[in-house]
Amino acid sequence: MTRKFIALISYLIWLSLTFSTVWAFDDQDTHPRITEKSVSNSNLDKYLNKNLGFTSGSLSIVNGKPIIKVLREGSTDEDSPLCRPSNHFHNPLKPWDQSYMTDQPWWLDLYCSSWNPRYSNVAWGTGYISPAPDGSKITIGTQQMGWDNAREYYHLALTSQSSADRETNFAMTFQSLGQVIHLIEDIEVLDYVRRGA
Amino acid sequence: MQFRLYALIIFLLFSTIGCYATITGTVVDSETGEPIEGAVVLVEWTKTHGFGLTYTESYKVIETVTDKDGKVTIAGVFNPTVNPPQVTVYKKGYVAWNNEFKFPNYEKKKDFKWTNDLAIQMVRFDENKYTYNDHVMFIHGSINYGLPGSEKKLMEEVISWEQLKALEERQKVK
Repeated sequence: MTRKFIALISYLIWLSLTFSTVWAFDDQDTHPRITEKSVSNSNLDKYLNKNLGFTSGSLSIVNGKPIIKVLREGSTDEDSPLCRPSNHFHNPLKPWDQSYMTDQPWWLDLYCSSWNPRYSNVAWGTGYISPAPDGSKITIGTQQMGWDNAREYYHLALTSQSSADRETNFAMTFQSLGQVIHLIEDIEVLDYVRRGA
Repeated sequence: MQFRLYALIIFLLFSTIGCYATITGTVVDSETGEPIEGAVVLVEWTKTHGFGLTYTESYKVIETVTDKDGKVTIAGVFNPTVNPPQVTVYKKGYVAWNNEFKFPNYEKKKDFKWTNDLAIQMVRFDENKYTYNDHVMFIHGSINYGLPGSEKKLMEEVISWEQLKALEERQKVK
């Protein structure tokens, strides 16, 4: 019986030694907080009021929710589902089409195999695999909430025939904007730009 | 036999994690010590999914108000996989109280301890000292405003006037 116990303890020690740590912003608190602070410091309220007729700025309601709530929700949602954050890393020493995370633990790699290929944070957010504005772009099938998607939802919000469609697309615009802001926030974290370096 | 004993000890230790008992507390004015009636108390339990790469969503939200003696009682959650609860108390004219963070600088509360009857002291909101914009952002952070899977209608309703004040402040600055 003692052997079994030693084996169990050894397994737990092995597990703790092989686990690599990544420092990250908390998606429940820090990400949405930075997002809201960014909104507060920006001209978004004024822009929404003057250009889009949202007189209460970021407190205006779209699709049943205040815009600021949707932006916060987006910056939390970017970490869901589990393997999505595999695309939140960027190694600035490599070309953008190779600057994705390369040292993911094998078991996580296996678990997230359906999310292969992985992309750099920049490519994931913008589609660019070489510097804009003249760089090459790709379309990522699993990405529906990137910068280009936000622009597309915005276009639909402005041009859709029915008010219900316009509301839905405005909500999607702000949700995806929140998700893109999350990506910019992640790039501020050293651990997110050291992967593979 | 020895292995079973060790396994039982480990199981008993881990089985208590995530079991959060009933929360009881009394909300008072920090200066006068008088109980505050009608303060909105929001308690939220969250759940973090994953191992290595994680994301968080709301597990359960309870909103209630204090009685005439400033007292509040909220049933606990018994689930070993949820995170510790976050408690936020709001009353118009006071600085919102949160069990994890202090206003205005978001300093982590190191002295907070769960007790059978939480003594929640609320400080009056000083308009000359604080901005509504900072206060609203603090409240939003405290109540995990926008966390997927949660509705906080009562809290959102009572803070709406302050959100408008915050918006006015922002528009004045720009």
